[in-house]
Amino acid sequence: MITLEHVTKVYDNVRVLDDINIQFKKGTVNVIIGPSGSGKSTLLRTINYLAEPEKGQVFIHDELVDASPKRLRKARKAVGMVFQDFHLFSHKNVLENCMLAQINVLNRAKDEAKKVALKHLKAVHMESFVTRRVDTLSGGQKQRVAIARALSMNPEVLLLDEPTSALDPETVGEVLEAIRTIAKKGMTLILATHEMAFARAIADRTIFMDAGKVVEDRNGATIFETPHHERTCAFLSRFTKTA
Amino acid sequence: MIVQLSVFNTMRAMLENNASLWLYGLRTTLLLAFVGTVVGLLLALVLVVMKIQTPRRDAHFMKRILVRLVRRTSILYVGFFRGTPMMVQAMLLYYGLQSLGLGIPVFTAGLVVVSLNTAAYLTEVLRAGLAALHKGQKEAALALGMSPYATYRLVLFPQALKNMVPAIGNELVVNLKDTAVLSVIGVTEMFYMGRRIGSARYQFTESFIIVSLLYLLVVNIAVWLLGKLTNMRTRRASIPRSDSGVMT
Ligand SMILES: Nc1ncnc2c1ncn2[C@@H]1O[C@H](COP(=O)(O)OP(=O)(O)OP(=O)(O)O)[C@@H](O)[C@H]1O
Ligand SMILES: [Mg+2]
Repeated sequence: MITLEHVTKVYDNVRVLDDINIQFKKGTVNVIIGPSGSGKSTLLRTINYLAEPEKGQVFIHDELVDASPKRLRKARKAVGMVFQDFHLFSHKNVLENCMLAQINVLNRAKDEAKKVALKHLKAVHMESFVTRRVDTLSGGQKQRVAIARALSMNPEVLLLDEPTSALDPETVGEVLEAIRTIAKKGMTLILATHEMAFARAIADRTIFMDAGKVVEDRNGATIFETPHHERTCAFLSRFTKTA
Repeated sequence: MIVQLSVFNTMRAMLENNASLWLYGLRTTLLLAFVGTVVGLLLALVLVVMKIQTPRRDAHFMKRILVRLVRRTSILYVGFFRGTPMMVQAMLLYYGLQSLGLGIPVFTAGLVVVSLNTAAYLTEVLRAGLAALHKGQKEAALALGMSPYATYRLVLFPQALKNMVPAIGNELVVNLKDTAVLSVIGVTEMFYMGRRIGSARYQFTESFIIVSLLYLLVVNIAVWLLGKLTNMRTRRASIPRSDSGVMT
């Protein structure tokens, strides 16, 4: 379980996150939607402290996260992250990408790390690419490797920051499929996305953010059928129009 | 024609009569350049680590001062060695140590100067190389739970160093040539030998044609080897992409 209390993040005198109070329950799929610049990425990044909030606290299992190396390490072991632009290690091949942190952070033996990595690469159908350099992969393949890399650390929670936004349309499906599989296995997911149809299909809970605030926070995907808030309506209508 | 022939003959005699001196000079130049570049690179790694230190916001006041001092030292070091000629540095180091009663052999002094100089230059290259890496690489490593130290050691430095190979090669070539200035303190490298052998009968034209040819030879061999190395890397980087295994 992840708890954010009064989390406030300021960039250039702007409150990018403005007093966020929220809890994410174990085993749930949490989808965050909202316009560009509303603070979705920043919210995810405060959870693993890639962005340190100016005010407020983050708890993982009732344990405070802060900038001390020990607690940071603990938090980041528990929370995996998948980025919009993959950020695979460009000097390592597919398999090595999934092994590096296992060996360095979890002190796993090489053989074990390899076994775990292969298991997760297989789950995203990337097992036949293990020796490939990552810059020779397509976007969808890169993102599936990034997912396998994060899962190889056996996190309890996975943060996904617009995992399909940098992809060619024809490879979006394969990544969404991989995420769907993870969700079915009961992993706690916090997903920021502009893929409304997918959000609707997968969400146990949907959060609409705007200007650094949680505007609407609803169970399931009901937000898409009966948005309560005016701004949510306006935001969603843009998607239904274009869809 | 006769003049040209006599130059040629003089050069041949010069080479034959002083073969061991030429080889010694060549060896000294190669040693200074190669060892100096390698040691300089290792020092640059230390210096760049010093330079990129940033104190944590909540760090103790004394620690923050210390971190700033370490950073400053590195910046001053780079500034000094890039801001003064290597020739001057050689004089300062060699005679400076001597006047302190800490005389060291000229070769050692020369090697130290080349290394320190290379370190200053490569520190800047490495820092720029680190800055050019996408910040996502660092974030990905941190997000996986790696410490800042491990992030630099396992992710950022290897990538920056890989991109630096041409710059390191360039520095090696520069060192092959610029070690000539170390003759000022009496290091017996190729320039020194050229002057010494030429001075026996005041035949500097001949001796320095030989010196030039020797420099051209080693510099071009180095350039050729470095080219091969770079090609090998780029060829490995561009394995043709196959689309087998793509899920639809
Ligand atoms: N490192 C930073 N420095 C300065 N400003 C930042 C930084 N990161 C984010 N911001 C600002 O914070 C605001 C929120 O950014 P954030 O990336 O969280 O939005 P988002 O909801 O993820 O948007 P998008 O849908 O475009 O990804 C934006 O105005 C952005 O410019
Ligand atoms: Mg974002």
